Amino acid sequence: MAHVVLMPRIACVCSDGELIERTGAGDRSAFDKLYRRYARPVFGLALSRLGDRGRAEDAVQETFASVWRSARTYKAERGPGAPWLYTIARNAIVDRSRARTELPVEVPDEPSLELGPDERAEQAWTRWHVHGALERLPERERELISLAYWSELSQTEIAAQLGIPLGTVKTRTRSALLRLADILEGELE
Amino acid sequence: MNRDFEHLVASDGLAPEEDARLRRVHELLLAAGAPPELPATLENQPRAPSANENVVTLPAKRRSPVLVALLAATIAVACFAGGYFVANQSRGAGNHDVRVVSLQGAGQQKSLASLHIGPADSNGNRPIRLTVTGLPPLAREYASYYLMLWQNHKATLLCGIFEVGADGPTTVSFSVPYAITNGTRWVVTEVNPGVRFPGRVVMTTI
Repeated sequence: MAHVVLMPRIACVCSDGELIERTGAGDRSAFDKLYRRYARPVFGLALSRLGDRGRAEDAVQETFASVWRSARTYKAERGPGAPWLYTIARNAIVDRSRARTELPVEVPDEPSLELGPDERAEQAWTRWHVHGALERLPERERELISLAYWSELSQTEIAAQLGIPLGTVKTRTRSALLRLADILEGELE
Repeated sequence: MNRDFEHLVASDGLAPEEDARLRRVHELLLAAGAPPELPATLENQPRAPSANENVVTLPAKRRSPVLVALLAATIAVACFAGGYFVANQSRGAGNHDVRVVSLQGAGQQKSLASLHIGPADSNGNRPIRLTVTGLPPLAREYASYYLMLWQNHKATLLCGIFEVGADGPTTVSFSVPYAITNGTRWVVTEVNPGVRFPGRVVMTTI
């Protein structure tokens, strides 16, 4: 009698590493889940590096094509999945940036107040981590965090928009932050 | 808007170490800023990896000698036909052309063009030779035709600028540092003074 090995269904708590390993085994649902989790962080990273939405979209496509092709090479014992994905995304973005037409740059008279390469890299990494962790929150908590941190709405307006008491907004924000802390600390282990 | 931790989060009753964890996440959220909105093209599903991106190991089969002979003959004919086609495509353009692409006029435009794309050098630069016929000369000063890559439904990267005369085909050579694949598409646009770059598309890849 033939043995049929079934992939267990993916619970929403799958780590990035697990999803990459399943993708390497040809599991498209794991690949889709990785995409949903990381499309936005990859796009954000690409947009900040390339400064062009069209090229950033191309970089996202290229990143996930590379993930599909090379997921088999991922080794969980060498580290968590997020840095592995970050490296693939960065390489895809670098490839795209090489293909752009460089315009001559004028040398400024004043020292630039913009971030240096180290700070930019650190900021990109922080964004990557935080935006990736946000995608793993339940929809309700993700929406709340977006409203609380990046909308122009006051807490009272957020409560009205979501149809919940003001106190609940704050306690749900706390729950969401606790969950984010767990995710972020888990990624860094 | 007030983005203080105490204003956003119900922190009363938290143990000091939990409070510190939440404050760290709070600072990270502020430092990271809002995630970007995904464009509609990326919103739904990833580009589904095609079936031939899967590596499938087929079991070895014993084939009949007749089938093997037939297969060998088919491959030989295909190789000959392919070589003949490539030789014809590159005739007159040198033996190092790796690809020839044709363009035709968009809409009612009766123009034709061919691109001979050479191999990339060690620095990644590729020679491109464009031969075009049927485009009208541009009368306005500073008006030009632009050869550009076509990606995501728009002209994106500039390959070269040229003008055409009233008589016969025009041939111009460019060098581009772009990655070019079988799926790469080109357009020729007409750019007139005062018209927003990259202008109006007048030719597209066939």
